[in-house]
Amino acid sequence: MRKDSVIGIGVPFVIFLAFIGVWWFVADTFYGNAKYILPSPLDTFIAGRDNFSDLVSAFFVTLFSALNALAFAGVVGVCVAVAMSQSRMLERGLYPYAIMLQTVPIVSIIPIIVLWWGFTRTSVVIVAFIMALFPIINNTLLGLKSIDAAHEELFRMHKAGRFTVLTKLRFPGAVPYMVAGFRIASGLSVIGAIVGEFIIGTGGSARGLGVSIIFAQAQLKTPLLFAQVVAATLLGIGLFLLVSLIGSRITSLWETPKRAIAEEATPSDASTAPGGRRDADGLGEVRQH
Amino acid sequence: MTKLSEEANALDFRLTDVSLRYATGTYALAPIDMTVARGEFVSLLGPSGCGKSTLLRVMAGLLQPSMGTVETFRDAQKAFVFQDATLLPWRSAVRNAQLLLELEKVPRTQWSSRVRDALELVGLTGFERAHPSALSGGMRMRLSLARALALDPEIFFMDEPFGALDEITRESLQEQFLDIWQAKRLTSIFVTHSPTEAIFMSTKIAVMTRRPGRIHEVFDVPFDYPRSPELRMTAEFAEFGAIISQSLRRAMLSDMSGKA
Repeated sequence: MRKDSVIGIGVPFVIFLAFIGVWWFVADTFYGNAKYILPSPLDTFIAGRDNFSDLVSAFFVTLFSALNALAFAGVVGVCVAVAMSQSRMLERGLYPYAIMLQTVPIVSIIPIIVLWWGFTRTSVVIVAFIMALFPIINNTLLGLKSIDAAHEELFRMHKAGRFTVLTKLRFPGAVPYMVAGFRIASGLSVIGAIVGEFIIGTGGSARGLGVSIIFAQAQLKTPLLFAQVVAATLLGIGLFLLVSLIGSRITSLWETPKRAIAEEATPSDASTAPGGRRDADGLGEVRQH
Repeated sequence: MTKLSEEANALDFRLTDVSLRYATGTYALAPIDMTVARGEFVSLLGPSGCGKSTLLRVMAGLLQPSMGTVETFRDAQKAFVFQDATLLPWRSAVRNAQLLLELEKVPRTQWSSRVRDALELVGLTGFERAHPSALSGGMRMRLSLARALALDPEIFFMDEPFGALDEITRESLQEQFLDIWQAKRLTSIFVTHSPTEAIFMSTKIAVMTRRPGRIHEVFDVPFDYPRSPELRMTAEFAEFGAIISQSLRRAMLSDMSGKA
C-alpha cells in the first residue's frame, strides 16, 4: 500500500475503530441499565437489524426526495446562472435573492411551504430544493464568469457572438465548477429532505428517515434512533459519492482517454518531425503506419 | 495616383500617425508610422511593456487607435497566436484545431481535411485525440499554431508565441514556423523581446522604445532564406546581433532622457 492510501484510508479507519471502542466502553460501563440514553454499538446494530426493512424503505423514501430536489435544483440553478451570466442587470437583480436562499433559516419558511403545498411529499422536495439551489447557482455563475481573457479575445477576433461564446467557451468551462456545486448541493439536499420530513411529516403513506426519527424518539426507542442516524449519515455520504462519481466521469471528458495516450503518444525512436529536423520536444515524433 | 495604388497593392499595412491613449491619459503608443509589405516577416522588438503587443493588437484590429489610421489593402484571412497556447482544455487536439473553422463558419465538409493538414504541418499527426493536459508546452504551442493555420490565413499575428518555452523547444519551433512561413508566403507580424529570435526569423525588424512605444529604428535583416539553424552560430549573425542590441539600448536611453 502506498503511503498516501495508508493515510487516506488507514488513519480514518483507525479513528473509526477508536470511536466505536470508546462509545462501546462508555455505553456499557455507565449506561448498561439505561440504554434509552446511550445504547452501545451492538444495541444499535441489533435495532438496525430488527428494523431493517423499515430502515431501508425510509432510506429510499428520503433518497428519492433528495434526488428529486437535486435534479430540480440542477435544472433551475443552471438556467438561472446562465441567465445571470448573460445580463448584468439580471445578475445584480437576482443575486441578493440567491443569497437569501442561503441565509433565511429554512425552518422559518417551512410553514409557508406547508401552507401552499400542504403536508405532502412535494413540500419536502421543495424544502430540499431550496437548500440545494444556492451552491449550484453560485458555482455555475462563478464558472461561467471565470473565463480566460485570451480565450475571450480569440473568440471575439473570430467574430463569435454571445451565444457561441456561451456554448463553446463559457458553458464547457463552467462544467467543473458545476460539478463542485452539485457535490455541495447533494449533501444539502439530504439535510433538506430530512429536516423537511421532520416538520412536514409522512407526506402521504411511506415514511422517510426524518419521520421515522420522530417516531423512534417519541417512543424512546433510542437504539433504533441511533440506527436511523447511521442510515441518514450513510444516505448523505452515499449521495455525495454518487454525485462525485458522476461528476468525475463528466470532467474526465476533459482529459485524454488513457488508451489514446498509450497507443498514440508513446515517444518513439529517432524519427523526424516535418522539415527533416529532429524534434526538440522529445515527445513530438510519431510514426505513422 | 496609379503609382500609389500599385504601391498599395504590394502593401498589407500602412500605419500613419497611429497612437493609442488609455482613458487614464497615459499613452501606450506614441505616433507611429510603419508599412508592412505583403509576404514580409516583421518583428516588433522591444523591452517588456513597451507597447509592442498593443501595436500588434491595433494592427490586428483588436484595438482601436486613438488617433491616426491603420490602412489594410485586402480582405485577408487573419490569424492570431497568443503567448499562451490558449487551447480549450476540454477539447481534444483535433477539436481544438477545428475551433476557428467553427467560429468562422467554414463549411463543415472542409474541417477534417484542413485540420489534418494543419496538424501534419506542425508535426502533431498521431496526437489527434490527445487533450492539452497530455501535451508538453512545445506541443501545445504547435497545436495553437495548427489551430491558426487551419484557417489558411494570409496574415499571421504572433504575440511572443515562443516566450514561455525553453530555449531548445523555442529554436525548434522557430525553425518549423519559418518553414511554414516560406511555404505559405504568409505576411507575419511577430512580437518578441529576443534580438536573436527577431534576427533569425524576420525580414525586417522594428526596434521600439519603452512606453509610450515608438518605432526607434527599422532594420532589414541581411540573411537569405531558407535559413539553417547553423546561421545562429555564424560571425555575421553575431555581428548583426550586436547592431540590433545597440539599437535596442539606444532606444531605451532615448526614452529615459525624456523625449516622447
